Amino acid sequence: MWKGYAGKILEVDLSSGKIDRAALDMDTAEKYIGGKGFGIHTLFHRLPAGAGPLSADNILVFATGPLTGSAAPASGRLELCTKSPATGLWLDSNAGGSFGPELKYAGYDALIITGAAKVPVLLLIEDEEVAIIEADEYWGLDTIATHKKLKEHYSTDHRIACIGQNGELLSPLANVQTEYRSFGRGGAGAVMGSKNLKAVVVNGSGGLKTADSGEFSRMVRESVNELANSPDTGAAKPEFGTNVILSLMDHTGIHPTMNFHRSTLDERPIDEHDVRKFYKRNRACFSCTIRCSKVARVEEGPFQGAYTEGPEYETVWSFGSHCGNTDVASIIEAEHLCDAYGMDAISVGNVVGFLIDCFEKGLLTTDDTQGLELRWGNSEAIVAATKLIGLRQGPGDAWSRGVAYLEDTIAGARGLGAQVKGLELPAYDPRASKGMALAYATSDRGGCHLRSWPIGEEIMNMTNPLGLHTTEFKPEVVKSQQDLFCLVNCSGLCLFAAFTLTLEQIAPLFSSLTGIESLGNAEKLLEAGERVNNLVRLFNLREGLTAEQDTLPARFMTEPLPDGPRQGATVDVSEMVQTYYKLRGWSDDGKPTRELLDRLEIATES
Amino acid sequence: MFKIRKSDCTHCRLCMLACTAAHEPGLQSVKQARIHIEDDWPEIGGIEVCMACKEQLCIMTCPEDALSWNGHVVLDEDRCIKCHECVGACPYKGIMIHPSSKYPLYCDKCEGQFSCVNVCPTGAIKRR
Repeated sequence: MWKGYAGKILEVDLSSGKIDRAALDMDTAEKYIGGKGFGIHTLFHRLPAGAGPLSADNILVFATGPLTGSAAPASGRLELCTKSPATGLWLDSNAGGSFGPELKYAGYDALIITGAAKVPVLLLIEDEEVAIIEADEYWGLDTIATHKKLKEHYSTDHRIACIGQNGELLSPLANVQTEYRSFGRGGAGAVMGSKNLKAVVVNGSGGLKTADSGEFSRMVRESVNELANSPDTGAAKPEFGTNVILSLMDHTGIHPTMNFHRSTLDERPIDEHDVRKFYKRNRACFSCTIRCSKVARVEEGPFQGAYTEGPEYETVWSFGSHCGNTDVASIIEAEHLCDAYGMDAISVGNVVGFLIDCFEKGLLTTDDTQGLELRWGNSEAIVAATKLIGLRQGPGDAWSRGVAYLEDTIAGARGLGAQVKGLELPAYDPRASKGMALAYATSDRGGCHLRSWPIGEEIMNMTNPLGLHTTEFKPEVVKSQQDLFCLVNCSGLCLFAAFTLTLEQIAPLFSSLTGIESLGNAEKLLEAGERVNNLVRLFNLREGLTAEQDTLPARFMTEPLPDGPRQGATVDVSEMVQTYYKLRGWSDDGKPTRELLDRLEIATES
Repeated sequence: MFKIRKSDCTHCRLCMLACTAAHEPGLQSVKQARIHIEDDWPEIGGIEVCMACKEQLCIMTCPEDALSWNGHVVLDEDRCIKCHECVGACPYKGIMIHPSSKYPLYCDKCEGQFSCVNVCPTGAIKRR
C-alpha cells in the first residue's frame, strides 16, 4: 500500500482512445522519485529517437512528486515533460497552482499522453472515470476563457491544464497554462496543440496516506517556521513577489538591457517598489505559505483595465529593460496577453526586444512590422507585437518561431540573438555573472536560469560569496545546484522553498510521508538528482546534441559590456565547460562514461 | 466562532489540508475538509465554513431532526438520510459533503483546537 505516492500511472493514447492504468513500481520511485525523474524515465525508454516534437509520436508526461498534494509547504508543483519543439531536445516545465495535487487525489502520480486526436478534444479525469471528449466549443478560446468556461461546465474545484491560441497554432513559444499559472519555456503548448488536446480536466475525491504522521507533521511545522523566519521566503517574496531582486540585479550589473547591449538605461529603471504599486492582493499555489504570487491591476492610463497574476521578475525584465521600456502598465498588459494566448513571457519578450534591436539597426522597417514603430521603449508597439505573436498574425507568424529562427531569416541579424540551443535567454547577463554563463551553457533545456542559479552563491551567500567576476568554483556550484534543483523538480516541492530549506530538512519529509527509508537520505536524494540529469543528458545526446552546443552566443565573448558595474566584462565558457564535464564524470566531448552510468545504476536498455 | 478576511486569503488551502487531517488523521487531502476556499480567479470567491449563526437554518431545515447544537452543529448519522437539505439551506455555503459516505460535514472547531486557524499563514481566518 503506497504512502505519499498515489501508486498508479494513467496512460491515455489519443490516437486509439485507449486508456490504461499501470501500477507504480518501487524501483522507479526510489531511483527516479517523481516529476522530472518519471518524465525522463518514460521518454528515454519510450520516445523513438529523432521523433518529431509535433508528431503523434511525441509523448507528454504530467508527473507529480511524492510531496505533491501533501501539507508540506510549497509542495503543490507538477512537471510537464516532453520533447521540445523549440530546441528539439529535452523539455521539462514546472508549474504550481492546483492541478498536481488534484491529479493525485484522483489516484494518479502521473499522466502519460501519447498519439494525437483527429479532432479537438479534452481529457476528463474524475477518479476512475476517464473520458476523451470532443472540445470544438473550446477550440479557439484563450486560456482564461477556457478555464472559466470549463469551470462553469464542471465545477470550480475541477482543475485544468489547457492551451490557448498560440498552442493551437503550434508556436514553439507556446505554454500550457494551469489554473492561471504556466508550464513555460520550450513550447509544450505546441505539443499539446499538435495532439489536438485543448485541455485536461481533473477532479479527485481521495487523498494520500501518511507513513508516519507524527514525524511528518513535526517536519512540516519545522519547514513552515523556517520559511516564515527567512528574510527571503518570510518577508521579501510575500511583500514584493519575484520582483524583489530587481534592484539587486540592477545594482550588480547583471540586469540585461536593450537586447543585452547594455546593463543600464538612460531613464531610471523599474524597481520592485514601482511594480508593487500595482499589486492588489497576494495569491499562493497549493499548500504554499510563501505567497510570492501577486495580482496586479492597472487603474489608469492607456492600459487601464489590464490585469495579471504577476507580473513576475522575468516578465518585468523581458518586456521592460530588455525592450528599453519603463512603463509597468504595459508590462502587465503584455504578461496578461502571454497568459491568455498561452505563451512564454520570457521568450516572447526576448523576441520583441530582439525585433526592436533589428528595427533600430535598420534591418527591419515598418514594411516588415505591419506598420509598428518598434523603437526602444515604445510600449504600445511592444504590446501590439505581442498580440501579433500570440495569434501568429502577419509578421507575428515568423516572429513566433523564436530568436534562433529570426537570426537566420532577417538579413544582417545573425549573432544578435540571445539564445542557447534555440531557447531565448532570461534576465541575467552572462558576462556579468560567470556562474550564470556556465549555467546557461550547460542547461539541459537551453537558455534557462532554473537548472542552476549560481548568482545566489556569487553575491547572496552572506558568509562566503564567490563573486561574479571569477570562474573559480563555478563549475562546482553549477553541477551541485543542477543536481539539487533536479531533485526538487522530482519532488513536488517549489524551488523557492528549497532555496531556504536544507536538504537535511527536506529529506525527512520524503521518508516520513512515504515510509521509503532511502528517500530520507540526503546523499541518496542528491544522487537521484544526478541520475536524472545524466539520463536527460543521454536523451539529449541521442537527439543530436553535441558538446559544441554547450556554449553561449559569440557576442558575449567578443562584445564587452559597455556600461554599469560590470563594464568591460566578456565571458568565455569553454574552460569552465571542460571542468564541468570532468566534475560530472563526462568525457571531453560531454558524454557520460560507462563507469558513471554504472555507479548511478542507469539502465540504458528498457 | 470565526472572523474571516477574504482579502487576506491567498487560496493556499492549508486550512483545508489541516481540517481534513484533523478529522482523518494521516490523510493528506482537502476533500474531507469542513472549510472550503472558493476560487474566483484572480480574486478569492469566498472562505466557506460554518459561521455558527443564530438563525441555524441547517438545524431548522433538517426533515429528520438529525442536527442539533452543542457548541457546534452535531450530526446524528443514524438519523441522517443524506438528503443535503441542510447544505442548500446554509447561507454561508458552510456545509460540505463527504466524498464517499455523502454525510454532510460540519465544522466542530476540532474540539477547540481550530486546526485551520493554526495553519493560516496570513490570518485570513481567525478565532472570534
